[in-house]
Amino acid sequence: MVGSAVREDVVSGREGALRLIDDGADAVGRLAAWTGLLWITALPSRFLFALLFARLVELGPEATQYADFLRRLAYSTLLAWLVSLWGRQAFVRACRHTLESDRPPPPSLLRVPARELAGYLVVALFVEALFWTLLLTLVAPVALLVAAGLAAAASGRAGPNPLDALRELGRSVGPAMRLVRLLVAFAVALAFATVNLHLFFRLGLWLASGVAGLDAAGWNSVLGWRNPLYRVLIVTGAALLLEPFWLAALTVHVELLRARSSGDDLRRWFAELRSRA
Amino acid sequence: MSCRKVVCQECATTWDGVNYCRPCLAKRGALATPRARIGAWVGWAVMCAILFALAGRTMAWSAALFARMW
Repeated sequence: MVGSAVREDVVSGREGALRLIDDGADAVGRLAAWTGLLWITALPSRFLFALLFARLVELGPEATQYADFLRRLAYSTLLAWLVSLWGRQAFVRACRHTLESDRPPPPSLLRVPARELAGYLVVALFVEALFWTLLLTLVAPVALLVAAGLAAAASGRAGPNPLDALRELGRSVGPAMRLVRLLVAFAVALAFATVNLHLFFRLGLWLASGVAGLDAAGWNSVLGWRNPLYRVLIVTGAALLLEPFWLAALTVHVELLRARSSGDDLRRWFAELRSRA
Repeated sequence: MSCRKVVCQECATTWDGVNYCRPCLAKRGALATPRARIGAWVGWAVMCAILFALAGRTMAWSAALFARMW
């Protein structure tokens, strides 16, 4: 059994948040094209969300007087978000394939079965509605962020029945502390990514300031932290950068739970032991 | 028995108060399954439409309220 520590991880109790991040990052490293697809499908909704947020900051206390405008913008954002759900589901399928096989995911994984997409769609909409309803509680939305990620990784298998899909989501929660630690790790990563992205733009501006004819002062105010739209875009961009890792880590979490409940982890471990014997 | 065949009590299955033999039950099941599937999809579509409308409204409402408090 010497030197088998890594393999033994499959059945050991060491299945903490860091393992999810490690395995997730490893999977994302092998899914460059799928990560691109995830970003491309998510971009329109993220831009619209940033626009909605920036308008809200501009309107401030008068925002409630522009209900029709805000509702139209909210529905546009939601429509774009529906497209991003397909990208998320395709990415999760590719991620699951990468966790099970060394081969690159086939393009056929792009054809997400209608049942799978339906199960995910209904739970994602439910979580989204709940998120915005409970936004002012500040704590519930944080938990629902995790639920939204878990829905992508777990709910698809349940099919179009909303109750089955929600039950599947409930089964995928598993050890809550592991998810809390994962959330904390990603909150720290989001802060780092935001600062880095901001510094990247500032560095770009500093380098470009030597170019003749460039209005450096104008760009300085556009790419400044005081500009609400820039602020929102930077945070949105940082969240987008982390999204593949977040989804991959949650997919690993769900697959670990499934393997444990079905005994598949023991079967795999036993097969590996036999192949080495 | 709908097919008028004589089947023992153990081999017959009662569904909606009517006894069915195995082939008849399979035929009945084949008819019922697509209906159930269509029903599930109709329920899914209605649920999605309601949730979509609710999500859009609550997004606009909560965001506006949040901006007002902020």
